[in-house]
Amino acid sequence: MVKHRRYTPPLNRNFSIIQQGTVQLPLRNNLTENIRTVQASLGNSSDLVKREVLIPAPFAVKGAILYMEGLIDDQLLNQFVLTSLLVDTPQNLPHNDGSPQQLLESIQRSALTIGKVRSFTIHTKMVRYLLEGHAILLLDQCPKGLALSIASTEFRAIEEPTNQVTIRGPRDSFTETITKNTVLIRRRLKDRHLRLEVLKVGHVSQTNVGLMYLTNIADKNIVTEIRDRLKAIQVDGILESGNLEEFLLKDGYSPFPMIYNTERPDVVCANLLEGKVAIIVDGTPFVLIAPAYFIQFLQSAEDYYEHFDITLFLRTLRYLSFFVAMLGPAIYIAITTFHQEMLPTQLLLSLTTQREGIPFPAFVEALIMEITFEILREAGVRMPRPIGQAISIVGALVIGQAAAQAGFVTPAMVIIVSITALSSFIIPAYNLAIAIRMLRFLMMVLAATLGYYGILIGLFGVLIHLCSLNPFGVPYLTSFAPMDQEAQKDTIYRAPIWSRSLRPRHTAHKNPTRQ
Amino acid sequence: MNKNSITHQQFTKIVALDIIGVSILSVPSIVIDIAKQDAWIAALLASFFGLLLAGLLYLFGRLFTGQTLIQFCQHLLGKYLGNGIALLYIFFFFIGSTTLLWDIGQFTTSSVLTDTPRLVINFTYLIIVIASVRLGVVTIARSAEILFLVFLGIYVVFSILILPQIHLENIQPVLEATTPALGQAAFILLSFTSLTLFRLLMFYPQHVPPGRATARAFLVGTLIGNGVLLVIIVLSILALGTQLSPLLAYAGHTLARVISVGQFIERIEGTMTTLWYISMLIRITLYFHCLVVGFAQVVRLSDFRVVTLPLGMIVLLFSLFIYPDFDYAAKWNREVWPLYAFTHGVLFPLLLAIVYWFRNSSLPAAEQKESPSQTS
Repeated sequence: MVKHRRYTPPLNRNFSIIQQGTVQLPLRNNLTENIRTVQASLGNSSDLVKREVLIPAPFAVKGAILYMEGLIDDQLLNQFVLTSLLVDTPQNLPHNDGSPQQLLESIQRSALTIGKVRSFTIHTKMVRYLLEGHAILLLDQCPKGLALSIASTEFRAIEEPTNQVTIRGPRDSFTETITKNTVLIRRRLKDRHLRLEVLKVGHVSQTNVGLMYLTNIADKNIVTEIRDRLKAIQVDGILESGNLEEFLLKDGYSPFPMIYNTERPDVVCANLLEGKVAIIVDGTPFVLIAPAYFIQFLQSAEDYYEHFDITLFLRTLRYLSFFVAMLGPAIYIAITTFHQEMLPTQLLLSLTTQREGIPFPAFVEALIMEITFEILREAGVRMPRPIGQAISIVGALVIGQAAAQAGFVTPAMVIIVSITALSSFIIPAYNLAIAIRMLRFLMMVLAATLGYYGILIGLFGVLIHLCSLNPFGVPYLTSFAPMDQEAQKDTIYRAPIWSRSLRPRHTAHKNPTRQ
Repeated sequence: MNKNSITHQQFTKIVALDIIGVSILSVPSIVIDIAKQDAWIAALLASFFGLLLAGLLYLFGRLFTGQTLIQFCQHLLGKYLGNGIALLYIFFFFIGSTTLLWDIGQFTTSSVLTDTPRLVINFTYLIIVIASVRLGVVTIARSAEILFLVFLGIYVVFSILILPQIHLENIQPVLEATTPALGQAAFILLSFTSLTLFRLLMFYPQHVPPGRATARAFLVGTLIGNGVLLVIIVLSILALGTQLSPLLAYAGHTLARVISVGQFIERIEGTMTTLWYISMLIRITLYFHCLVVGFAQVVRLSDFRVVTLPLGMIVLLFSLFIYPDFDYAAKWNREVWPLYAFTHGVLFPLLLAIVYWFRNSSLPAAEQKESPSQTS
């Protein structure tokens, strides 16, 4: 059971490696000394570039520009920083014989033609800015510096989603860059209530984690809780949103996924409109959505773009295959081992003849086939594309024809395993599909020991477990339990959009109407 | 939304499933044996008294002001007498849990898994029961909601499939049974349905605040539960006849066995078994919840979860030999159980209400105490 313990945000332990390591010093007057301190705190790293400049007469002040190679955009540096400093500054800036400090201020105000410029006075900050892709401008005889935001924008281009494919629907997907991802969302929801809070998580990786929600819809408590939990995370690095997911759900175990992840901006927007919170992690195209309901994992973005009766058909199919994927082999085992009488006589006879030469009991047979299949599937996923083709040929031959001919398994078992496998592919969310794959083996064991009764006991267990889940205070099985008449319009059956005037009750009670 | 509250819809479904409970499988044969083809009249009578009882229970629960039945006893009757009555109730819950679990084992080993030891069956079923009790009232309520949906779905399909097998002449002649026979049949039926409904007083005023909606939940739940049973009894009479039905230990199960549609849908007694396991799950869980929470309140434990496992073990052990055999159980169910249930379900509450009425003026208002079950 996921308890929602309220986290007390930890004391200001804003770890950064620099704070732990070397300097918490103010900048000095001496330029060379400042540069040396930076170099020392980065361990003379060879990708730290130092460009010494001399602001021309009438100022004639020595200075330096520092940056990490590759993190900044060279063209921006040349065009907007170096040009303005070395060519334009002397002409444009007022020439009063001020100190270098005043010069720095007027450079910040009047010379630099870039958007984001920040000043700092301590080394820690300077190193942080350097590592985040700022260029640093220091002047001699000046205990202050400027951080110029000219970070390199070389990202992967926006491509088509690869995992959540739809026939119809937007073709863009998230990339590894948080700024680009937030733009994809902002472009779709042009509303002043859309909030983005960026936190830094991981005291080495300093990963930007964005919290996005619509402040007029989202439940304040849920937002606060997620924010507090994010702030409470103490870890060296967050490399993927999956790492965050485990931290967010750490006080309660369930094989079922309780945070939805997607690479589709349209899905994120739809969820934001329902009052949920999106968690965008820099460095991964998978955006988290919390809190997630069980039914959400059986929905696909396309359900809302195709006509609603098509959706009814497809969703019914998915709910059906959810059970087939979990119970297929278990039911086969139970019937052939314990309850032969449940089969019509003809079918029973045909099955018995098939089973005649098989050396294994049904359970072992099913186990062998299922494990073989899981191996094949995993091999197919990890293989490089060109070899992946070979896997499917081997799979078809091994699982299908050869195993049956060799007398290891019955053809009926092959059919059962294939149907089960196909059913698990129908489930739109990969993490739910995996949960079911694991439960399938449990069900098989129960069926082999206690037959039909065992399967029922297993189902009861799963049901009770699901009923006890409360991710972020929202019942996991919401819209079934607690039963919600309004939510039935988007559960198995999706009502036409125009008739769905209410948002989900649990996350969006603040602003319940859509239309 | 209060974390520990149960919605009225959920409460309705709990009431319905609890009433259906054990009765769906074995009780039709007892009732038909006594009232023959007029058993349905007995079922109607039972529904009527069931509604009456549900109404009374609702009114009775309103006196509790947020306490459970056990706490109310303690509060009303003081330390010794109150705890004495409470212990009687707890013993009743214990008997209920163990006998129902015995039923599970008996039915499963005789009809579903004939070679499996009873211990294994009872143990696995009890694990589920203990787990749901430990997870708390809200979990029980939610699972009841889902199970009710499943139940209703299977039940409707089942009832439609049985239609080709019915013979209307089985129910004739109507009104042949004597009034005492009808009364007895109705009373026995009632003892399996509404007479034990008072267990809901262990969480009705506490987790479902009194109000019109709650009263309606009581009544609608009773109606649904009795309706389901009525249909099963009528179908048993129509499809199996009054000669065969009483001979069968589990008439409901056999009812499913006679289904035959197009030579393909045959032998689907699994459906009936599923229905029974579902309603039994809710019924046993309620019993066990009452047992555990009541016990924790008598010995004043702050968390009832501590005693779930020990009490579970005792229940498991007793469930193996609480009845020596099926005949004993049948006799007990007919002759002892109805009176036992009546004592605890009607007499004691009535006495408590009278005491409350007498002490009403002198008794200080009941304080709303934090009970252990509220920590779930």
